[in-house]
Formats: sequence, C-alpha cells, structure tokens
Amino acid sequence: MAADLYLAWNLIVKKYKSQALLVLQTVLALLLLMFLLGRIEFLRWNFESANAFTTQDSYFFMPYHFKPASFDIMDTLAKVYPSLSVENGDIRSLTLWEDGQTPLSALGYNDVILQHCRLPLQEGSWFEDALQNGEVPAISVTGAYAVGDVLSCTQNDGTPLTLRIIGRLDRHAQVLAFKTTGSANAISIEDFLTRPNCDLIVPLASARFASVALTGDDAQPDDGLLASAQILQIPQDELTPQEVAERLRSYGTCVPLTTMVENFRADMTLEMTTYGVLNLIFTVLTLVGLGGNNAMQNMMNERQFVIYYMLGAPQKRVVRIEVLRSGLLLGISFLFFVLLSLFIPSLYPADTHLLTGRVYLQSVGYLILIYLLSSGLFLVRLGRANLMEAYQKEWRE
Amino acid sequence: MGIVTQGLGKTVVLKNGEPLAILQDVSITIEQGEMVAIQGASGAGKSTLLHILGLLDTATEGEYWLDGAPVQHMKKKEAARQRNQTFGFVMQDFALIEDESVLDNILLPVLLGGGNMGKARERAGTLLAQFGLSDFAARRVGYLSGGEKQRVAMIRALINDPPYLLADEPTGALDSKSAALMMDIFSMVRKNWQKTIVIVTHDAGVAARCDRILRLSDGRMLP
Ligand SMILES: Nc1ncnc2c1ncn2[C@@H]1O[C@H](COP(=O)(O)OP(=O)(O)O)[C@@H](O)[C@H]1O
Ligand SMILES: [Mg+2]
Repeated sequence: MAADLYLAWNLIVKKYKSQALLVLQTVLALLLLMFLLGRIEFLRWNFESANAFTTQDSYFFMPYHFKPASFDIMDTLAKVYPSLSVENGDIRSLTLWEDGQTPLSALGYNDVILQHCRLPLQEGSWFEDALQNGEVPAISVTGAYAVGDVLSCTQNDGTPLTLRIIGRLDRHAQVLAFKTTGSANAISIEDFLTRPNCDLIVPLASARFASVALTGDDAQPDDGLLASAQILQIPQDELTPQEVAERLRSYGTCVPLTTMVENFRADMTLEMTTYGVLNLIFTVLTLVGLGGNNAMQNMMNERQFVIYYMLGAPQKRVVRIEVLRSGLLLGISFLFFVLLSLFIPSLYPADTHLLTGRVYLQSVGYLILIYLLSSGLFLVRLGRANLMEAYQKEWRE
Repeated sequence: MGIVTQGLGKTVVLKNGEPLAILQDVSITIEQGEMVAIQGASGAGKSTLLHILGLLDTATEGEYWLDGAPVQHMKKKEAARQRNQTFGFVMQDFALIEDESVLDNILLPVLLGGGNMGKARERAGTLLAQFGLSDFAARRVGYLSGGEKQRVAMIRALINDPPYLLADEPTGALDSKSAALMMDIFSMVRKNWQKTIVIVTHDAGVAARCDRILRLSDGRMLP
C-alpha cells in the first residue's frame, strides 16, 4: 500500500505541470460550485422563511409619504368602521448599552408582529414563556449569544434593563424589518426580509422599555429601516381584501400578506430554477473542462500503468494506484480550496449566499462524482481490458 | 524445467464478431539456460506468443508448463508475482517511464514486488557500472539515446534476478551499432548469469546470434 501511494504520488509530481492545471481547474470548479450551491441554499432558506408568516387576515400597509400630517391609520379605520378589530403591527429600532458601554442594536417587534412572523430558530423558542424576575426576553440574531445568556443593559435614558436570551436565529437568517427602499410598491415578502445590522430582537410591548428608548416616528432610523410601515389585521368576515384595498387606497399601499408570500414563493421558485439550470450548464462545462483534462491525463498515463502491469502489478492493483492518484489530486485540490476559502467571505457577499457546511460537503461530493464520471470508464478499462493488446496497438502504428 | 507448450493457440474475436486465430498449435520446448530466437515476419504472432509465455496474456487453447507447473489456470495475482520474480522483459519501445530517472525505472520491479530497496539500490549501482552507465543513475530516461535506454531496460529486467529474460524485438528501435552492442549484452548476460533467454525478432541477423531459431509464420510454428 505504501508503495502504491508512492507510485500514485509520483504520477502527480512527475507530471506536475498538467496536474497543477487539473488542481487549478478543480479549485475553480469548487469555487463556482460553492457560489451556485450557496445561492440555491440561500433561496431555499428564504423560501422556507416565508413559512414564518401567519398570513390570515393580515395586510402590509405602507402610508404614502405625503400624507396628511394628522393621519393615523388606527384612528381613520376606527372612525369609518367602528366595529372592526384592527391590529397595528409595529417595528422599532432600539439602541441599548450592554454593561453601560457597548452599544447593542435591537429590533423591537410589537405583539402583532411577534404573532405573525415566527422566524425559524436554530435554538430555543419564540417569545412564548413569560419570564419572571422582570427580565426581558430576547432573541439573538447574530449568534453572538447563546440561549440562557443574561445581559445587563442600560437604555438611552440610563434606565437599567436585564435581558435574557430565549432563542437564537440561524447565523444566516434574515429578520423581518421594513426597508425604506422599494417598499412603497411592496408586493413580496422579500421587501420585509433583510439582514439589518442588529444583534437582538425584543418584544416592544414589554413595559420595561423606557419610552425614550424607542425610535419614534419622526426620528428616521439610519440603518435603512422604516418604523412606520405596518402590518394590519382586519378579519375577513368583516371586510374582504378587495374592500380593504379599496378603502385604504387614498392613504397608502395595502397588500394582503397572502399575496406577498405567494409572490415571494413564485420569485424564489423562478430564481431557484434559474440557478438550477445554471448548475446544469456548470456541470456540463466542468465535465468537458475538468473531466476532459482528467480523461486526457488518464490516456497519457495508460502506458505507465501497462508498464506497472508488466513488471508485476495485477490489474486490480493498477486500478488501486489510479484511484489513489485521483484521491490525492482531489485531496490537494481540496487543501488549496480550504486555504482559499479563508478568503471566501470577502469573495462572496454573505447576504446572498449561504456557505454552510452542507454546501462545502455538497461541492466536494459533486467533484468526486465528476472525477468518477471522467475516470470511471478508464478504471473499468484498466481493470478489465487486455492491457498488452492496448499497449501493442499504441506503438504498432 | 524450462518452458514447455503443447498445442498453444490464441483466438480473438474481432469487432465484427468473426473469430481470428492469431496463434495455432504452438508446441515448443525451451530448456533452462538456452538462448532461443523466435523469428517470423511482421504479424506472424511473435509478440502474442511472447506475451503468453511471459504471463502477460493468456492462451485460449493448449497448455503451457512453466518450470513443470501448468499455468493455464494460474490466479492473476500469482501470474503478476511470477512476472515480477521469474521474468525480465525487454521491449522494442523500451517500456521505460520517460519522465522518471534511470534509477527509479530500474527499481520499479523491486518497489512493485516489495523487495529490499536498499539492497536493490546497491545491485542497481553494480549493474549500471557493468553496463557502462555509471553516471546515468540520476538522469531522466527521456534524455537518453535509444541504445542507453535499452541497456537501462536490460538492467531493470535483471534487477530482481529472474531466471528468464523475454525480449520483443530488442534491437528494433536501435541503430546497427547499438543493436550489435545489445546482442553482445544478451550473450554476456546468458554466459555470466545462466539466464534463459527468449528473443522475438524478424531480423535474421539477431536470430543468428542465438543457439536455436524457432520459426513462426501466420501463427504456426514451421518445422
Ligand atoms: N486483439 C487483436 N485483435 C485483432 N487482431 C489482433 C489482435 N492482437 C493481435 N492481432 C493480430 O494478430 C497478428 C499477430 O500479432 P503480433 O503477435 O503482434 O505479431 P508480430 O509480433 O509477429 O508482429 C497481427 O496480424 C495482429 O494484427
Ligand atoms: Mg511484435
């Protein structure tokens, strides 16, 4: 076995120029593949996070920018339809100071939002259990905190506050927030999901927050988030979606969440299909490029394998040496890839690609498959064909 | 002892499904220590016969005894071991690995056979000196001349000290001077180390340097 490994290694080292090309091709293929699979993973995750929304009777409402100064959606609706139960979903940006010095940014969700958007958690539970000791429950967004961590903070006005982490989002998860860009025509959940620069999600309703901590309507948050966008809940048996849209037309854009989720899913499906097709094209190109080069190397190595056979290696052993060679080459490529991947975060915008362990594994598995496809026939030939015949044919001509 | 075949034949099936007899009814005896030529025109089946004798290929008919033991049903692993230990091969195209050094080429049978590399290195040094290639150990085979390559192939064939040397047109790719030198080497090897040597050739001059000539024509032995 040691001898076989040595021979396999020699096959690579002695032809290092062509093998280096093969390694380069493999590494590039891995990077491209990661890009594709990472994007698909991201889309898939988004697709799933659409499940986080309870869409029944819910509307996204975006008041027009030039609205009457006195306009208040709750007041307006209550005046026109006194019997309606309208709930106002609200999201605010908060700044807290951990240990009185480190700034923590948090998103405050009111009860309506908390109820309608149960973001998929990696660990813990979504604001269910009431906490004692006057602690405020919080969900860690960045993964910087673990479930059970207790943070002592102060608010902007100096009021102390104790937070307890009850859940943790996936490292790549997006959270619900109202984006300032494009949201006037919001028609898809995508306009809600974002990865804001935020550490925590806290319940806005908690009476513990000093009112000054809340970023008010007038104070524009500087992280591209809008506090005044709202999620309304209007029971359907009182007002149909058409009627709701009709009534609110003059005040702002109003879209049923159901529609938004559907649109979002349709978008994601389309994009996933696109990337699926790209993946297919990639596979074919890789097979032609990487697989073709590998196959050519194999052809050029064949004579050497026949020599091994002649000098006393059974055909099975010849096959083993070739398998070792491919394995070593893949190993080297992967090593290079791992080194390169230290820089991957700067190569790939993390927001649009999920580079999870699974993506890495998938990429490697995929490449092994491509090697097998391009080497498979050669291996079968090495193992079964009459090697001397092949050898003779070569120099008879 | 030695090589004995009885009614040996090889039939291959062509792509169009037709059978083609490459060798037919080959019955030969080669005694230990003999230097025998198998002479025949191109396409007579010489290489095929040599491959069968060297356990590189198998016959489809007849029988073959190597040192008294039948080889027709020999396991592939055992055949490989015999190729490594019992036979040394010298081929027309040298069958050397061009981008490896002379020494690495020579040691390949030892590496494959799991032999003692230290001892083999010593032996390789002695043989290189004997064949006038002392300074060549570290050189890449690709840079050698045809005559030098064939001498390297000869040393590789001898490295495991096998009782048999099988050569397929060993002078086929050499100029006449190198060819003559190569034949001198065969004679010397046989005399000094009592090897049994089988040389396949179409060249009457080469055949004439052997003790005995077996003639092959269209896959059959001529009387
Ligand atoms: N696998 C094969 N298929 C078809 N023809 C073959 C095959 N192997 C050998 N032959 C033919 O058999 C004949 C003998 O081949 P070979 O032993 O190489 O002859 P020689 O070495 O005497 O020139 C040649 O005509 C060759 O073309
Ligand atoms: Mg021949």
